Amino acid sequence: MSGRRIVVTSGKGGVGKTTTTANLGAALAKRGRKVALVDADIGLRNLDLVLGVEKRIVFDLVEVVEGRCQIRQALIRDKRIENLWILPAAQTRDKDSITEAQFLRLTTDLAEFHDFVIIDCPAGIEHGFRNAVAGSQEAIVVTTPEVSAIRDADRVIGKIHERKMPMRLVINRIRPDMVKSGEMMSVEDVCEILSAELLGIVPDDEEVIDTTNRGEPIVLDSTKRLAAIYDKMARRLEGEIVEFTRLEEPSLFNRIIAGWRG
Amino acid sequence: MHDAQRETQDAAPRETSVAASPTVPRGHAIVITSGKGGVGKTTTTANVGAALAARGAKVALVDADVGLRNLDIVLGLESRVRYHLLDVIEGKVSLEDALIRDKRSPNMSLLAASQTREKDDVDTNKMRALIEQLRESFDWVLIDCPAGIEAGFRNAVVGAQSAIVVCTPEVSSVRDADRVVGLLPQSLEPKLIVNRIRPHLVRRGKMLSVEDVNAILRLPLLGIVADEPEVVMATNRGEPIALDQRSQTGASYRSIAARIVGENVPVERPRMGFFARISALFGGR
Amino acid sequence: MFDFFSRLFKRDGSSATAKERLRLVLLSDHLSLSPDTVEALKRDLIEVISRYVKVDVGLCDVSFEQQAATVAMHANIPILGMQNERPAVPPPVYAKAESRSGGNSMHTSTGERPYLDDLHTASASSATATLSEEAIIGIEEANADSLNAAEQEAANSKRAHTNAPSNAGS
Repeated sequence: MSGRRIVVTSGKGGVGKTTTTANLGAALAKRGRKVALVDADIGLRNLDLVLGVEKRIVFDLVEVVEGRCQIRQALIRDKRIENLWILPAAQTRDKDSITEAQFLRLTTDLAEFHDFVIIDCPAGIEHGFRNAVAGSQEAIVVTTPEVSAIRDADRVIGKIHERKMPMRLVINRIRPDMVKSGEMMSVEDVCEILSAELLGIVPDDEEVIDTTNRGEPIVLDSTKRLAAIYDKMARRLEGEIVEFTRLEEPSLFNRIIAGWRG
Repeated sequence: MHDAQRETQDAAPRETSVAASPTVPRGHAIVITSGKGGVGKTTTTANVGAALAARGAKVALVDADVGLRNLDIVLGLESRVRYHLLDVIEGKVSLEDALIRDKRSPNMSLLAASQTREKDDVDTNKMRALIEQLRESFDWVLIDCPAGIEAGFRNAVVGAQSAIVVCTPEVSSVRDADRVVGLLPQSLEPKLIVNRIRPHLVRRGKMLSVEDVNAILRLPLLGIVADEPEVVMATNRGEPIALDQRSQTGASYRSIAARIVGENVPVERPRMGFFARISALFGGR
Repeated sequence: MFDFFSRLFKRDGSSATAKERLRLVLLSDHLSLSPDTVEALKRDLIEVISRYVKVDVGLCDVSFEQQAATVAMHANIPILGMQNERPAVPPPVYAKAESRSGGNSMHTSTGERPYLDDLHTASASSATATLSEEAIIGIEEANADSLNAAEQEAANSKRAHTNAPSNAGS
């Protein structure tokens, strides 16, 4: 089998690449797919932390590439979700430690025995980004509806187009109340500016902070609205046409007004 | 709380004493860094700069994020960028010609990054020389560091005499900040700004507190900035919120500037903000 | 806090501003990131303009500048002269020396040698004309040479400053 190799990138840091990688990967695994998540942020690893496996790291991907261990020894199996594996980054090295060719070899090897290989890309457009992209066939670009994030996403989309890779967009941390009041750009605004096909719309949710603190991807709890949203994303990724969740809560707006008027 | 205050008083930097030799630059260069991207380095650089300039100091802001520049757009100066950092370093244009004067804050000037080049293109020694040159004509030189710990980071740090580490109260951010502190030269004596705190979440134990963050980082605390939607709105407009007298976030940046110049301003705790009110409307969850 | 809520009722929130600013800055970014497109544009531009005037190709320059409300293209195309100019006139042939010594005959040649008068007048005026044209082109060339890149840049930026509309607030 040759699994799909997908990079999750953004240009701008802090918009939710790692959260998206972790939760989308978990959602796919919950649907029965074999998923390997790769942390390409060498030197500033965080995928392990977000998934709560930071204490179980024995080997990292630099050691795999340098031949000091087998891939199987470095892959960490998630104890809560069947079929989910994590390959952590090295923490004491930097992104110049691996070449693009080595990274491609690594992801191709992983794709031999996984349905999906999802690569958590570092911020920026330098060596770390180039490595991650070299190892992928498709891209998911994550952005928030903010000026700097969109500008950086645009740059990254340009680079992905140069490589003729299929690409889809995730808009993260949408605040429907602020969109409604005209203080935040809407999903339509962002799609129009970036000319990208949408994979998912994820609302800003305070629960994400809490679950990250505990190292538990939010999709573990199927009662959470974000779990449903990531599940839909997984389905879209597999080719299903799925309607986007309506995020607008008119009652919220009215409640703000009511609350303010007292 | 008292520890934080005591730390703040110790943290307030003394005025730089000017050496006798006229060739020693008089200004002070500070790099604003974090490791993790998206925690507010650029917003902090823009706002601390604007606040310092509002106090009458001459401030130069340097965007070291070559290839992904954003300091210009956060300040609303994107339409005025003609020349950038590499143009100056490579001798194509003088520093004076490249600096953009902000019309709203005439004491503040911006040196933009290149959008089409790469961080590896910056020669480290020339970057250091550039910062020294800026120190000759500005009281404060603030360097906006890119995310990461590679060449971009190294070039932003060279030439700096102090560092501000920006960290949000989230595990990834704290971890990356810790890594960065380990990589900064000790002589920079880094100080901490905790950004995007949501006091109502901290109270409910759903978010790390400032003390939790600093238990790991153990840095002098320079300031705390709350997470407020007005910051996004200000960025949308390209207007630094530090200039908004009615804003709590603006006030936080202004008191950070006061501490930087040596005033003993105790670090204030952000009050319950917009997000807390929304949260309360949901039945006080 | 009051202000924020009162702004909730306003139509044009900061998102409209953000969207417009992004549109311009991305256009500017895209232009600076497409040197091939800009080169092709410049080549085509020079080709079209050259149908009407002769240009100094080596000194032609095209640049883009973001202004307050738009992105503008600036083209500096030094013009050397018109295309389809009249064909060059051959230089005058002067009569031999002995025909000149008969000064009287020249002045009183209304009947005997009228063509000499005409020739003399004709050659004199065409010489003047040729001189002027050459002088003009020479001056233009001298100007083109003496304007070095820096001065052109200064000229461009001066032009830019006069072109840019004044803006109260960005």
